[in-house]
Amino acid sequence: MTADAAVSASPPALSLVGVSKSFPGPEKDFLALQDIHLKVGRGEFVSILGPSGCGKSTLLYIIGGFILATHGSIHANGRLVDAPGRDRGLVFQDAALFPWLTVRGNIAYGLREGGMKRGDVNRVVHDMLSLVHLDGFADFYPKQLSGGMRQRVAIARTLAYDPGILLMDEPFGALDAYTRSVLQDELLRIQDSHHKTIVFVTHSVDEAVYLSDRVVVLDRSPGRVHSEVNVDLPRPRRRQTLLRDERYQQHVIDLGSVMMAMHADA
Amino acid sequence: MPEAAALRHWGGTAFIYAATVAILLLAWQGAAGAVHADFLPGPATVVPRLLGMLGHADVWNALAASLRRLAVSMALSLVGGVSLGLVIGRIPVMRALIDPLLALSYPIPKAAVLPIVMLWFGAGDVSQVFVIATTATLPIIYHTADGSRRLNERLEWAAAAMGTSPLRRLWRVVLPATLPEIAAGTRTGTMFGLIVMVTAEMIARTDGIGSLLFAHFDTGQNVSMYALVLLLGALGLLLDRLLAWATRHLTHWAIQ
Repeated sequence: MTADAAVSASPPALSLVGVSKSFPGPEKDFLALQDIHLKVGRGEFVSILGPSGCGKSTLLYIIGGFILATHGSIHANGRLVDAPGRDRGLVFQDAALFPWLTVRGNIAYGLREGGMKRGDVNRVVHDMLSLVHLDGFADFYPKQLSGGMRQRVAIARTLAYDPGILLMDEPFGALDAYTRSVLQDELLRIQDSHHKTIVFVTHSVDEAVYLSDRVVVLDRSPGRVHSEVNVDLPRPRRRQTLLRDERYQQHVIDLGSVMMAMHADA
Repeated sequence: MPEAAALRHWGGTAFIYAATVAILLLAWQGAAGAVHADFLPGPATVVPRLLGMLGHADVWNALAASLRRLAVSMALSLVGGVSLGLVIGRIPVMRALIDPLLALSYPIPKAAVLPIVMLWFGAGDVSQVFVIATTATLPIIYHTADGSRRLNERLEWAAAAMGTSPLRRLWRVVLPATLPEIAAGTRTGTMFGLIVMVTAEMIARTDGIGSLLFAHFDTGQNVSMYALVLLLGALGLLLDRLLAWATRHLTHWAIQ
């Protein structure tokens, strides 16, 4: 251990060391992820960008504790990850709301599981509804909501019980372009006020650059870290300013070329 | 649906129902005219007889005995069927173990086993409830197993991420998510149960509508037999509508 690490007061929010994952196959095992090293600082927004089949979602679910790594270790805030935990909140692409619960019931779920009193639950639910601009929708059921609204509820449900780390699996991937932009801006706004540690899986270059402090590019077969890019753009970010920013445009062009090259190899 | 449209829809459905019943009654009456009245009495004879019988305690006592028997059987079926269904749906080993047994026992008419069951438990309620419950349980098991197996894994992951333990998830996630399937199984099971109940009562001859029906056969009261068959039909329809209504209210959140 170096002197630097020894004096460092708090461990990184996430630390992955030599993480590999192979799935048993008929002939030989399929190597989905190979030797992934990754550190994510507290309050950092990191995107995992890669072509389909590069194992980026698998990596996210390994961090979540839902899939066990074949080799390597994952620490969240210094604690070894071997199961799901309330320190790591998940947002899925399909929202995965509980359809039998109302919007209120969905947002309250994690709070009740944490043993919060009814009065406090109601207050937090109210706050969350206004945070994601869904005031007045508390008593709606998921099937009555649009895809974008469902995703807002999913984000509110996860933010409500206040996990330090958010793991987001292409949360806006299934939405139309306009709704997607609106939700990206809302996520930026929430990040400015809540300072979560976020790992965001996406295959969209624009989205990764727009939202992140750092973009980790995964290559496929096997999934491994191809490169990392620091997105040195100031926060708070505003769409109209950012899209005109040359540094933003340059990142999008560079990362776009990297992705194109990967697709050409496939 | 807007209220006016809903009302129009309801009115339309009610009209079709009424028309269907009217056509059936007319056809029945017509057929009755063509056959000896002792073998096939028409509705003009049977319906007044049924109304007359409803004025006596006999029918009500029989109906009460049957409904109590069915209710006890269905309660047992629901508890047993959902529990076993969850075990089969959630634990692959148990599915491999139990599925062949179920497939084997499904096609056996449970009423055919009643004489054997009566050897063990006598002709009373225990034997009859046993036969009704085992029949009604099977569709509930199958539906519950199917529904709980095809459950969206993400829902469980979401709950696990929020700190719900595997055992608790069964109650908080798996059961509510499977509710539409459980309701469908219960509806089928209740109809199966009603059919077997009448058969079991006709074999055991203790009490209930089936027993009363056979008593009328013994004494050659054909019109009363027809009246009771009509009553059973009405009972089945009523139960099915009731369960359909309950299903709509319990699972209105499910995507149609």
